[in-house]
Amino acid sequence: MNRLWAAAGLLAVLTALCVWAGFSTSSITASLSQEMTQITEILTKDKAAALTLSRQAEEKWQSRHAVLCTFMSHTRLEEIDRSLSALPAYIELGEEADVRAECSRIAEMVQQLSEAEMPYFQNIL
Amino acid sequence: MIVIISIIRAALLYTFIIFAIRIMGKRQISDLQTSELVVTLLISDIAAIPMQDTAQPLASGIVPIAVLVIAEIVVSALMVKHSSFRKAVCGSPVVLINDGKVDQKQMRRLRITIEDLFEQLRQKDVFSLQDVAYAIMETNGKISVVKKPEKETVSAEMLQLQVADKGIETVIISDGELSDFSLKLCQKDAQWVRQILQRENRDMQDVFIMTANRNGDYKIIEKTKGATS
Repeated sequence: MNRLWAAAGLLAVLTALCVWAGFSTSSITASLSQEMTQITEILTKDKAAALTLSRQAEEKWQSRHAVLCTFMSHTRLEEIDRSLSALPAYIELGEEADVRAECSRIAEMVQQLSEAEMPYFQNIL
Repeated sequence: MIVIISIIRAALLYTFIIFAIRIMGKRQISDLQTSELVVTLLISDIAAIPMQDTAQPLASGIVPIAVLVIAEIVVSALMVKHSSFRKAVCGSPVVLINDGKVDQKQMRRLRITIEDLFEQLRQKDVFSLQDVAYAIMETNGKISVVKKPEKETVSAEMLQLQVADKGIETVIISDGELSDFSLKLCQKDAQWVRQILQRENRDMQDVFIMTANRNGDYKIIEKTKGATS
């Protein structure tokens, strides 16, 4: 009976962990996707604002990086790290098309990261 | 730094696996049922991935191990409650030798060769097929043997002898350390041990092993000089 209680306790911990991981991932990725969309929208009109936004996005991502590292493959997160750190330089010195492509690439990676954590049929299989 | 991370991760996983195995309960490797064997093999395999690859989060090892432990506990609880479930998971014992006759059909079904059968019989101190009345293949893959009555080892009961129950012989001092648990088992106390040691003119620190039973029979083996660490 004690073992069953221990199993129930473990199950409760795992469920809480899954809910927390899912919630953290979706909130972080949704926020980053939104920021990427904003950057592409304001890029032509206000380059300086786009630059500030990209730096803020990078800082925000870095602050939440530790949380994601506890349950996600570090390699996938580092790929987004690299792209985000290169984005301000693209905005400052690069072509507008390059910035849009980089934003789109980051948004896509973030989307994949979010989808990979969801218990979809294709992920389970 | 990667070395320190690896050491910490390995230590954490080791601790978690010990915890997981303790929750599942004690079993010898050779006594494992099918489901337990699968879980044990899987746990060792899963733990190796985050232990070697520091790019993988520890959760990628801990979560599946925890799930396997939960599944194992639930399955074993269900097996205790429902015999049909146990039968489905572990199978049933199969009689290989019935009333002295080898059941060839069952041997073929279980893919057991006559050499396998003889090997298992020899391990049970049976060296002739003629001595066996029943041989049963248990669900953990071991064979239980019942000898023919005339080939059975003579017991005190058969000879109608009265044998005194001495209780279990326990190691009460191991490498100079007194075991309270063993003392309780043989219904003795520390005072009794001290009296024995005084009578034998020995110091507890110099005792390598001391065994005793409920009747008060004891044996002392002293430490060999230079053999202790």
